[in-house]
Formats: sequence, structure tokens, C-alpha cells
Amino acid sequence: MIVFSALLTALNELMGRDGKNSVLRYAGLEEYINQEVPPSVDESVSFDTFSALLSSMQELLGHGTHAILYESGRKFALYLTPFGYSLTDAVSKLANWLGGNVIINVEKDDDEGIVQIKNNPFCLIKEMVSKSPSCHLISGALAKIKEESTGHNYFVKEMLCESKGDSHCEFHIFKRSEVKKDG
Amino acid sequence: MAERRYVFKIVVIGDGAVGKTSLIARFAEKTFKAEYKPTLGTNIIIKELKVGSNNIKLLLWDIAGQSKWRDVRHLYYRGAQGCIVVYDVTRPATFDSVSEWYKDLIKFSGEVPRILLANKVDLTDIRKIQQEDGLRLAEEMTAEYYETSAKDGTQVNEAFETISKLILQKT
Repeated sequence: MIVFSALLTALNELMGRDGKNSVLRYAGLEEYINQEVPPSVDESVSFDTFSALLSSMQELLGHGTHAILYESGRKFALYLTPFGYSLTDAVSKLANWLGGNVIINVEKDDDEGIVQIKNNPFCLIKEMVSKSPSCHLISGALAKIKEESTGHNYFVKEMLCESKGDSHCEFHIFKRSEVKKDG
Repeated sequence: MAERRYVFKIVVIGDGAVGKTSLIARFAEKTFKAEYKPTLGTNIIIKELKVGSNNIKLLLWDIAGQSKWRDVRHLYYRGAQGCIVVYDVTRPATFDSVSEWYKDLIKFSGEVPRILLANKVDLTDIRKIQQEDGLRLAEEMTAEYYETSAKDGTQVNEAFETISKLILQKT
């Protein structure tokens, strides 16, 4: 279980210490401000704490843009998954980390993959009702997982989302280019 | 008239040590600290205010001025509905770089309402950039212009209220 610390590490890298602290402050999680958060802390992190962090990120960083949440997801995946994992392996690990009733189905795992998530905790946690798909953090994470496993560039678009009343969240993965990444 | 609620994201930009953090602290918390502590990344401060019958929640993004944040700064601009550009009237270099900050704003946020703040006007003895220079630059940027002091509060509330009204008019 390193989800909580991976999220904070991603935030720290993308938003700087002050940005991370802003999100924590808004979430009411002052005890983590200016603290190093080792992966082991996750064992003591409650569902409510994780929920508060995600809600705060959505409200502060998601206003008017998806870009920051998507990039946070990419960083998050980088700290979450070892290099070389296939998409199938990585998302099944993600399901284990998230716990609960989550069902992840990797319908295709090639250049145009599709990942479906039912009972997506990122939607349940936020208790969101949205007019458009809202799991930008997961989209970014899936893109990064796919990139790390193949060495190619991908982008992910969420087509269906539980937050807007769909039966599950569905992410479509598209290959961006044939250019091999440097590493 | 029925009350309406809005959330506006405003980015506050300008070189390091021009007083961005202090201006926000003066507006949001009515405080001033003389010691300088550079912002690391971006600091997001929330302030609620009422304009007419409208309740507005401002998300004030205090963006680090140091060049080390250049690579990720473009992300912070995304989704901004308004901008405050700040320079220090005692340091001409900060005035000269306003045009660079302005270019970044247009590139990453588009043509959003903006105001230009000439800060630290309480330091009259060492002031180097005069009002006419600031007004000329503001006109070039199609921006409102205010002379402010985070230290004594001069024009600070007016500046933040003006940018809120400008965004509201565009909404």
C-alpha cells in the first residue's frame, strides 16, 4: 500500500512544497504538512483521509482544467508501479491497492487499449456528480503505466464515468506516436 | 435579485520577491511579514468575497517567480480566469520582465482579464519606476493599473476587487 504517499510525492514534484501543502491544508490534513510521508504511512491512512485528499485535489487543481490532475496521475503512476509492468499487471495491482469492491477489466491491451473500472473508488470517494468524465488522475496514471511498459507515448481519454451516471468508468488508450522514448 | 455563487481562479505572477505572496496575505489575511520566503511551486489561497449579490470564492494561485519552476509553470496557468501581474517599483529588472510574464499568460491562459500592480510604492525614496511608465505598460497589456503597497495596504483590496469584477463581467 503506497497509494497515499505516491500521491503526495507526485503532488510535491508537480506543485512544489507549497502547492502540496495548499492541497493538504484545504483537505484538513495539517498533520502531513511539511512532513516526509514514507510508504509505510499508508497502513494507518483511513478511507476518510484518502477521500479528503482526493476531494481537495479535485476542487483546487481541477478548476477549469484537467491538465494538472492528468499530470498528477502520470507522476502518481511513476511512483506507484515499477518499470516494465504490463497494463494488465499494473491495473490488477491498482485494484488490490484500492481495495473495496472495485472490478477492473482490461478489455484490450494493445496500442488501442480499453480499461473498464466498476465501483471506481475515485468516483465513490469524491461522491461526485458530474456532467462529463472526471477521473483525470486515473487517465494520466493509465497513460504513464502504458508508456513505462512499452516505451511509446500514449494518451488516455475517459469515455464513460460513474460520476455522470454510467454503469462503469471506461478509459480508451491511444498511441500518440511511433517515436521511442528516451527512458 | 437571487444570490449567485462563483468560483474564480486567478493567477498572480511576476518576478521573485516583487511581493506576490505579501499582497495575497494582505488581501486574504490582513497581515504583512517583512521576511522573504520564496514560494516553492505554487501556493493556493482561498478568499471569499461578495460583489453585489454575488458570492465569489477566489482561488488565488501565488506562482513561484524563480526560474527553476519554469518547466511546470505552464500547468499552473491552465484554467485561470483572471491574472494579476506584479512588479517592484524599486527594481527595474522586475518591470522589464513583465512583458515575458504577459506573453506566458496569453500563451497558456488566453485573453483573460488582467491587472498590473506596481508594488512597494511605500518605498518612495528608492523608487525607480514611475507611474507614467507603469500606466504605459498597462495600456499595452490592456490591463487595469494599480499602485500598491502590501506593507501598508495601499490599493490592495481595490486591486483584488477589480479583478474579481472584471471576471464577473466576462462570465
